[in-house]
Amino acid sequence: MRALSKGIFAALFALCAALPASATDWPTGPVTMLIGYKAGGGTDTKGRVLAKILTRELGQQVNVINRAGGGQAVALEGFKNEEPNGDMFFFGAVSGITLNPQINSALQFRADDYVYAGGLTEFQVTMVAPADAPFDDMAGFVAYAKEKGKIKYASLSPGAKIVMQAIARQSGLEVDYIPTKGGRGMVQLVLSGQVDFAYSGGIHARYPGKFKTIAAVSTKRLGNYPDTETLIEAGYEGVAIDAPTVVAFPKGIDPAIVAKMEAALKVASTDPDMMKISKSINMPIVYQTAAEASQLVEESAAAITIMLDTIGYKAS
Amino acid sequence: MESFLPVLESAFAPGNLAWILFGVTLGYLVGALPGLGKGTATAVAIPLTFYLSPLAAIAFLVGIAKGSTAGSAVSAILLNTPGEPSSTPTAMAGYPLARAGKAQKALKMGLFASVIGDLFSTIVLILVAQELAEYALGIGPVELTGILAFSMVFIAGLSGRSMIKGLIAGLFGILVSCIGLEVETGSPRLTFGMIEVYDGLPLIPVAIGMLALSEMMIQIGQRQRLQDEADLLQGSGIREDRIVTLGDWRRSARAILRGCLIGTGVGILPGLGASVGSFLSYGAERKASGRGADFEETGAIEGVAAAESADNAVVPASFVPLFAIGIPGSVIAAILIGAFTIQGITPGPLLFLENRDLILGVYISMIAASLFLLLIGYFGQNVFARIVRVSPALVMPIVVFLCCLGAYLQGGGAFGIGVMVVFGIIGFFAKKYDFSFVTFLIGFVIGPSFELSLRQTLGLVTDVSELLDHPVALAFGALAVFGVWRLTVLQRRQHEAMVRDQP
Repeated sequence: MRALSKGIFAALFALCAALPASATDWPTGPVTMLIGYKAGGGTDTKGRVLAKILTRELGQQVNVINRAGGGQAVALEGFKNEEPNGDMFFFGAVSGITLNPQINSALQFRADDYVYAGGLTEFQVTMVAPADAPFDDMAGFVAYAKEKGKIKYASLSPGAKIVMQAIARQSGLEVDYIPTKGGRGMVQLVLSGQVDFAYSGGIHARYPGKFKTIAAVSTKRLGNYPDTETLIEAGYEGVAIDAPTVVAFPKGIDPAIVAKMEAALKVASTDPDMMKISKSINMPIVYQTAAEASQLVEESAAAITIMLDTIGYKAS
Repeated sequence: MESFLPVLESAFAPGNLAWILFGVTLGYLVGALPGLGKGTATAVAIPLTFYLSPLAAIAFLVGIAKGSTAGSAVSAILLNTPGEPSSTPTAMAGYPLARAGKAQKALKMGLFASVIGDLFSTIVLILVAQELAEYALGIGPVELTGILAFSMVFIAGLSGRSMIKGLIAGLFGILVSCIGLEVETGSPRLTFGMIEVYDGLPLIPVAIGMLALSEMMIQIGQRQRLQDEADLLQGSGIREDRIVTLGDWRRSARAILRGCLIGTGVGILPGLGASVGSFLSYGAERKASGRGADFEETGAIEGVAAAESADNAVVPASFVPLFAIGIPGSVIAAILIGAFTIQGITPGPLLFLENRDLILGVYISMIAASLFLLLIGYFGQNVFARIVRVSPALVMPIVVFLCCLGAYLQGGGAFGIGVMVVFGIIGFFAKKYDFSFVTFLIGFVIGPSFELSLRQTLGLVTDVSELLDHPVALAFGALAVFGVWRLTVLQRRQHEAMVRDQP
């Protein structure tokens, strides 16, 4: 039975491949947007607005499916094996693509298993402290932490822990890592005064007057925090995680499909709905061409390798 | 005050009311299907709200949440398969009533208790959202650990005949909840290389398997007896058995009031969830009535009232931390955050300042939804009550099909169906050997938050003496220990008495 259905699939596939579908026809049917987080989060909220715009731009229904788990790892692992025919594309943060395979040796996918059609926005990945903290920058934080002896840090993801471990190792700090799930768990720990320092994907901007932004975790300064130093500027060589959101296809995709998506993303980047939602969830629009996005993924993966080497991280 | 009129106008606009009505109806229908609960209903409806005004969108979703919470009592009472875990106690006390020919009475009481719990909790939300949120923030990881440990013991002790078996089931649930990526470093646990379980086993297929599918397996084995019972379920024909009498109200008033208070309290505390509320309320009423296991054997109208009032009271109360500090108190509240952000609104401290009119409109819509619920439920029940007139031979395949559908949709495709079947088999044996499957589910659901808050506590409290700063946590911890001791002693005495009575 199985062999039979495989045979039928193979025959159908050969038939489809034999018919030279002109790439400019794409999409000829509904397209699926794959999101690696649960419905309701920042990526999902943005993705659904993008799906609406793409439906208009591509002339076919774009449906969203959520396959959550392992910081996008579950979605990406399955997505690697999708047919590269344009029926499904991935929308999510680059950090899920670059960080996961390097810290979890069980994962099969690598950053070069995908083709990037462009970037749209970026998470404002930052180190934050409660608004009443007696420091404003990394130097002040280190002095405060040394004076206090041991600080408590809200660690909302494996990446968040690695960044703090790198800082702690370089500055000789003692840290209690308080695990928490997602941005909202972090906010709760900070607002109730249980931790001194935390990692934020940008969610803290929704609580004005409650947080101080101490440093940017990205390689370059962030759009919404032009005056905040990056960790690299503060002297932490190689300590950076970039989290722009990109659109990706499985390897082997027709370049014409990529080009069409790239053009649609450019339109989306100036869409009024997109601008409104970007403001309300603190993820500024940073449009990137396909070439720029691919280069960024490559650089970001290399930066993470260096950071993991610095702290002597062993993949599990 | 002069700005209040336009708010009223927009809240009572025909379009808005129609969306609330549609939401409540849809929710009630979905809730009545076994295994499909408020989480599923609300999540599926989110895309529909893209094209609505913020007020209509939120009112629609709140309507679904309220409708499905009440609707899940219908299948609990009629089919003994709760629409969602939090209606399990309703099934325990209500299904025996239905078998005794009092299905309509139980359904009506369930509905009235739901509406009262819902209305009470909505009013509490309106009156004290901002003030209570301040206290909720003070319930940190240390307190939550104590409360969760206490809830676990309490539920284990009440949902089966044996405390030890209950605890075994609960701890097994916690063990199963450990499957997936560990929260802090992301190392895989018990995954055996399966990527699908990286985010843990999907809750809905596990719950459907344990609750509905295993029940169907047991029922298939007793088809003839059920066929006979289906005739009973048609009702006794006596008017007394179809309506809620003054006597029923007198018996249930205390249970409803307590249910309102427990449900509201549980809703305000983030992370406990509707199941904890309905089980606590049910357990408290069972204890207060002094009837013990009789509750599940002959059924108890006050048990239905206790479970449903608390179940529904959790939903509005869980919006308290959402509206005031932006932290969801329940699955529904978490889904609503997505709906708010799609509309460009940020739940949190500024909500009452920047979107005051919207919040007032939502409040009014919530009260309207309570009233619609009464209406839809009251008239819809006649339709739903017909389910019981259908032969079990027809009902069972339909229920199994719906189970598969729910598991497929919520469990990542065919994998979800596999999970459901495995847990259906586990549930079958758990029921046969009296290991409380409910305690298993509670352990499975609260497992991740229990682990997380315990680990946070271990990081936050570096010295034992610091525990003295957390009197709430200490009190609940002590209650948990006392509960294990007390219930074990009681059950041993009962057991000894039973042995003595046997010749």
